[in-house]
Amino acid sequence: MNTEASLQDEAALIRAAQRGDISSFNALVLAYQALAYNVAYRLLGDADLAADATQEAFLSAFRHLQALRGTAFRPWLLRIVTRTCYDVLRRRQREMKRTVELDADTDEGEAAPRVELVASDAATPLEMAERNELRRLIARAVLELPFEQRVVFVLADVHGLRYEEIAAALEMPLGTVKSRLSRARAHLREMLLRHAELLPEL
Amino acid sequence: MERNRAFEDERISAYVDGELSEDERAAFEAALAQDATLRRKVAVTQLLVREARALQQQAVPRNFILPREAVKQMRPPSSSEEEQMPAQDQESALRVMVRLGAALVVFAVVFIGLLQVLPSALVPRSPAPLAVQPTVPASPAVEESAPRMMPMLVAPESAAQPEALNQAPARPTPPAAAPQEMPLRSPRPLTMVILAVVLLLGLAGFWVIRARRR
Repeated sequence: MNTEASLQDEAALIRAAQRGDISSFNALVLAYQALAYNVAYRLLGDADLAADATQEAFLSAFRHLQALRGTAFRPWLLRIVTRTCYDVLRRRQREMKRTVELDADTDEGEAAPRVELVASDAATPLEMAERNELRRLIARAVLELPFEQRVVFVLADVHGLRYEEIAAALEMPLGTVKSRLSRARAHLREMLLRHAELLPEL
Repeated sequence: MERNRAFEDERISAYVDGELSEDERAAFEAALAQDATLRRKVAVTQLLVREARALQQQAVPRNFILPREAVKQMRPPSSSEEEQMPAQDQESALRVMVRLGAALVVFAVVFIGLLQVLPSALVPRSPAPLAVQPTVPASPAVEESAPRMMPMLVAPESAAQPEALNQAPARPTPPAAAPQEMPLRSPRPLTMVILAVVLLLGLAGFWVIRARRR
């Protein structure tokens, strides 16, 4: 990411933050907040929940900063973000169970994540509309994956992290990362194949 | 069947990521040339990965910097070992500590209770009780059993004079051996130390739990 501090600066910031310097920690927050928020957003599918989870994750990171020794900051932070998102989802599920509110309208609007309209080169308006519909479909389908597959897919395919970094972030073997990613892709591929009308000529 | 499918999914995924070895890739591409369904799966997977990458950026709705005031009372912890645990593990550790504390307290209570009711034979005591003699004339039955009991409870000189005991079974205790009040039994120092340690551990456990909750 282009806003990330260089590794050397980052190490200095971490050391200062570990001594309690909040300005140094906030420099790290500014460097990583876009990544943290986007991961949370793709895992939760809701902008407000993602913002809350991101804030909670940074607070938790500051609280546990002394534990960061010999580990890169990014995977360590992503571990906290993904765990926080998991907690948020569980809390939400518990609340939903408690209230038992079944709103028939929600499956159309609320759950559908926002998809940015990206101008594509040499795309007609129709192609752009189809492309955006396809991305909306993918984003929605990602939220239906089991959480452990969703995390790996979001980190690997949405954010382009290397397998090794994901394994470090999620504290799992490389083989588990690969198999979860392949299962997530297979699920999403099956879903896409059921919407062949949105697929370009392949 | 399911296993074959999982294997195929993993190979497609690895092929898309360029993770197959030369030999594996050659074999996979040979299979691709033969199998239109497999070709389509690969193409859709590649499309999926490409489009997923295009989803990436969402504008951050606000800055997530921590306000100085909010963290004034929330210093980074000085001990790393406890804090390396994730939140869920910390909660379960707290639960374990609560149970441990409760168990220690229960143990202490039971221990104290046992000390109160333990038969005197099990707890070595000072010689004072040896002086306690029956203050009323013993019944014959009691008297009969007395010789068997006496060697354990009576001082050696009494044991050395069994005849004297037999000769005066119904004689009341002479004034010199009048009943004495049993002195308060003082617990052994080791017992006191154990009790103190148990109680201190329990108190420390609760103190730690309260501190962490704050």
